[in-house]
Amino acid sequence: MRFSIRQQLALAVLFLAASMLLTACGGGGSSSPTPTPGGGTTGNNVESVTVAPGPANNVNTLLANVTVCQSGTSNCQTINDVLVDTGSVGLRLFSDQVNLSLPGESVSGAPLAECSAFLDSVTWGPVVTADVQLAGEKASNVPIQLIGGSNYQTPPSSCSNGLTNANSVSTLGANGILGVGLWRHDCGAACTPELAQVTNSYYTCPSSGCSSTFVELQNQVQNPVWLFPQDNNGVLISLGGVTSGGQDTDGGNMIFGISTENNNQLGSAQVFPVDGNGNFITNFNGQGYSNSYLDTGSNGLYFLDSSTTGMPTCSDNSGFYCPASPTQFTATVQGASPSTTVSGPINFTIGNADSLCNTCAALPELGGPSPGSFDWGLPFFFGRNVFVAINGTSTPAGNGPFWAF
Amino acid sequence: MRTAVVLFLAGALCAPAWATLGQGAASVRRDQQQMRAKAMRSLQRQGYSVQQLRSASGVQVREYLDPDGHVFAVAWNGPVHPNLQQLLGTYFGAFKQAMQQRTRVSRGPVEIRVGDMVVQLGGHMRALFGRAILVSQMPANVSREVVR
Repeated sequence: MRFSIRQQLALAVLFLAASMLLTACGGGGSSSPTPTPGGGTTGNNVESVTVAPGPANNVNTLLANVTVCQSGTSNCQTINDVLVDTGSVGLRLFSDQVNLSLPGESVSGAPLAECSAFLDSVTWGPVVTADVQLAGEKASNVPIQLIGGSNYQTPPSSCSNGLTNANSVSTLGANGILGVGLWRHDCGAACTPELAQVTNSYYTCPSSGCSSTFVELQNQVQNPVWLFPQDNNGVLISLGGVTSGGQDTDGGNMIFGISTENNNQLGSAQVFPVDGNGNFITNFNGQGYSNSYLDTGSNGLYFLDSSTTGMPTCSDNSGFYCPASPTQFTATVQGASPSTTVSGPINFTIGNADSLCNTCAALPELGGPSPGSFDWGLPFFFGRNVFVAINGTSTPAGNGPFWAF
Repeated sequence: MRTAVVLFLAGALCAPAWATLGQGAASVRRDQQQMRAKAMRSLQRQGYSVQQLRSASGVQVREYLDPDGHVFAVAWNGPVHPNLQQLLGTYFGAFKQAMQQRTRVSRGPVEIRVGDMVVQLGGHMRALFGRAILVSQMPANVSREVVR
């Protein structure tokens, strides 16, 4: 069954009214300090987020407004509609949208740049430092990336590899990326001179041209959350539920800290530790898939392939599933070895990507293939509280990195 | 017939000797040199073999060879993308063009089909993975699922 836009709007209004009634009747009481997913909570650590078409008119795009300042000054600028991405780490903004003069980092006197590898694209540009303000929290002197700019039009071929140069709002899908994933640093120890394991990520760019280099942790692009003075051990993504046919928009909060305030208590959430790559295990039809992750930056539920799921991909785009009718699935997840905690059943439905509501920005049933893997994208987060604990930080449920929901 | 195809591809390459997908076993050695890779090991499987490399950029690469020594698939995982021009060889141009021509941008794992080749990319920052398969050159009785 499919709803018309009018019916969806009516449902949404009804839902909103019902949830307001609940709140008015004491639904926000102290017995359950973790907020209702997407529900009303306020505080210095609460950043409002929305699922909306955004500047690139996309679906399942989680957006927030981010304020950056010249370090130590009140010279600030707010960039709207930045993608909130639990699958990456660090703030990346477009050079031509930032009007502030932000000091660049350098290595041996030459500018430091980064070519950041996303799964189908790269972002290329200099590393600069800024204060980053989200809600009432402020991180000082955060290394961030500016994408593009006069000297950074084309990423080095050693990094681009024919992938998309995400140097525009339309190719990136938003006005920047706010990576609030599992790690403090975007590359980590593997990119430092001490380990020197990963090349073609950081580059030093003297006037003679750019070449791959290694960078100490403190100079790498970083998760601004762990640099907050408090509420710095992770985030809670709390989004409202979305009706199965889709909605124009969805709302919610990104709440900073885990069990640091009344509004971010772990409560009864189950903890799922990850392996060194940030992955856990999904159990599906009797098979365990260790290449599994949660990612607000993925706009669908991407898992396995046509022969395993029984769903064909779309004739016009083999990146999405197009089953004849919405198809239901069940999986469980568990932490990476040696953890044995198994979740309860996770039910999800995949619809035909070609016939999903085409005016909706929030589509819970959008899915596609990812052979041998489960990418639990934004639809997983609808109607849930999901905690992301940052590596090397502590919580009452143990040290990060882990997911909890 | 297959020899003719391989010769044609080799002819189309000329210099530099980019190699791999659709190429002979010698291309695996060229890949090693080009990527300054360390050969990790070679595995014999039922109906095919796997050459494992680790590139200097930190990516683990697996090249799948049929019994005649032709590379019918490659797979990789690592913190950055591998040298795809090297790995996809003559197919790289078509892959690049298909990436640029995508109409509906899927922020998520990607599947590109160009002629006989399927390329799939997945993962997230710090942990990317992918594979490229020449569908018609898969040995009989070998499942795509082994390419991972």
